[in-house]
Amino acid sequence: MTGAKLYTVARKELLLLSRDLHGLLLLFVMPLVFILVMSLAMQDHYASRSGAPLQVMVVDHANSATAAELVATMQRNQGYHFAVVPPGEHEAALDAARRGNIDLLIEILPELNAFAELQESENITDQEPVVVMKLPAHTSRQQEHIFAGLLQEALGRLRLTTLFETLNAQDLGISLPNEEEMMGASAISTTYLYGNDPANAPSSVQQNVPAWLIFSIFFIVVPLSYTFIQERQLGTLYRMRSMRVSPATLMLGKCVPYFGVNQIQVALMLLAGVFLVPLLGGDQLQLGTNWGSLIIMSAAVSWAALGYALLIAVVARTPEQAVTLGGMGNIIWAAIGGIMVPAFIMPPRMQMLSHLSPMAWALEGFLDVLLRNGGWTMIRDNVGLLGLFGLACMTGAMYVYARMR
Amino acid sequence: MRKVPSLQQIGTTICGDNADEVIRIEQISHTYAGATSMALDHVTLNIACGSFFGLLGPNGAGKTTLISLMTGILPLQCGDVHILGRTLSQERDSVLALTGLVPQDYAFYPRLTGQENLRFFAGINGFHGPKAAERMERAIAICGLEQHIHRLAGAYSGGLKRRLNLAIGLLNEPRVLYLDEPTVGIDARSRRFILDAIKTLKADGTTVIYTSHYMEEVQQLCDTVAIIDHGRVLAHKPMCELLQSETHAIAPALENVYLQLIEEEPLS
Repeated sequence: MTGAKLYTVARKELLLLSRDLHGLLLLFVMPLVFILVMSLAMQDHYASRSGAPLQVMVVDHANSATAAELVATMQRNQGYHFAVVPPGEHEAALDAARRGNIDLLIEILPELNAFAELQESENITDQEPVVVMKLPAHTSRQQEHIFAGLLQEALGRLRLTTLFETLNAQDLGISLPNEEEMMGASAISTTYLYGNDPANAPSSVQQNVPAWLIFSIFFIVVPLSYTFIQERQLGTLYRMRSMRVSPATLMLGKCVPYFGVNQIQVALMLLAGVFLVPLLGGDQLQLGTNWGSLIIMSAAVSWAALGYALLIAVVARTPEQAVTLGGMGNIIWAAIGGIMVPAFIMPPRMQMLSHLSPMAWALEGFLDVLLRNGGWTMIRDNVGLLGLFGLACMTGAMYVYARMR
Repeated sequence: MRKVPSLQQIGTTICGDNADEVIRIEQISHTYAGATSMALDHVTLNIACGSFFGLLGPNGAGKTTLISLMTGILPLQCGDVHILGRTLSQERDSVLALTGLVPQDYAFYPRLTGQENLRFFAGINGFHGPKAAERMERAIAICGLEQHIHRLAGAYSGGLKRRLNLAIGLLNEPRVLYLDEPTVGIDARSRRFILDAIKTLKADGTTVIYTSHYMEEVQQLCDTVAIIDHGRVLAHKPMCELLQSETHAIAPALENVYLQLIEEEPLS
């Protein structure tokens, strides 16, 4: 194998790709559209997961210190942001809820004051509602139940405070706990299994940019295998063999330009996450500071994708077969690998299955770098898996090509 | 006839020391994996330097297998090929550097221009920069592609495609050129053009090994002919000798001799 021959084959591949409009659309435009659409479409879902508060609007019909205390009690929970409006803005609040601009609407009724003063009927089943919850279409049943729990806790606390105030602790001969002790605030410890900080949960852009970037890297299977099969059908492979082009030169001559194309894809998609997604109202992609790990991950994913593409190229007999085999294979890898549906929302069995997809190894590695600022020790397992996958595919491709000869 | 620089002008030695015998094919046999019969059965041929050698036979006779073995595309299983005193099994690269192949298919890239195709195959042959430009210029001149060289090859007519296919095979200025059906599927004018180009090569002393189903073409061009079928050589003679065996016709025709020989062979 000579460098000059390698350069000649690589240059030809780039020329062919530069004239393949469909291939260019597939490699550059498709992932960009996916990144923009999916990052923006799933922004709210990821935001709630990463701790962004739900927006709650409160229409205060009671207009009392008790109502203010109820809201203040609930506001201690950082999962919600409360905006209190007077009864005159009731219709506007309802409209905001219907449009989905807020996550929850509650109306505090005047009956709250009597409820807090323990003046209601002794029979609890006769209790009139004192707060009404109104839920927009996008609010889940889960969110409804969690908020109802918070509301009940706050209402109970109001009454408990009134009760303590009416009791004379000294007469009872006991020491009453202060408010914090009473609510058991320090009785709960939280551990985040995906990192030390809830902010480390992937945002929509942190998940979607690497996911669709990986998807697009693996899609080099289509132009690469299409060119290879066309070469076989046209007889140019036959001719090149008569010109003493070795299989290694041919394979490497295809890999080198597509490796370069993959690196351009990585740079462009990351730039889109940093600059383009925020322009359209999404979050900004955080790249972290571990550039070395990013380069290693990018190279490892490209290596795996090149191996897969070459294997499909030598196994498929027609361009249609290559597009079907390669494209379908990619979609299956993506579906089980957490590209289309994030693995962390899959049931445990599906999460186990996702570990079989090279796209899952790639995504995990990219998330380690971009989200957790991971170094070599954090990414080496996934880099190793991708390396072995690429090597196995390349070996298979060389074996099939040699037999084809 | 177009004026093109000859091989002598650019300093190529036409024949080796053994000028009478440029190619010697010795006892070549080949069996494809999974096949029950041999594609080639102990084929032995001698081809003189600078001759125009016709290789004839029906479809599936073994012509393409023989060319594939001689051009190193298929590995030799049995026997050997000697070209200008060099042995294919021992000096593969130097033997193949002396040969050029023009396959029956349009073996180039439709999405590249004629010039880009030629530059690519020149590079594959190891020619770059001014040397590649010189080789390309000669091939373009022989095949009359000057007016079309910057167009995409996929947009060429059938005749232009054949000419580009031939031009690529000439880039390494081969001493031995294999032409596999170089005029199939093109109109009379384009065929005439290609045949003229091939005659130019013959005048330069290139040894041409030619397969075609057009018998009149072979009769017009070739000095020597081998007819093979079922992997075996049925006849291997100078054209004039072969035509002498055709005694019934007023104007002896190669086609009659060919059909007579083939029909004597039992159908497989």
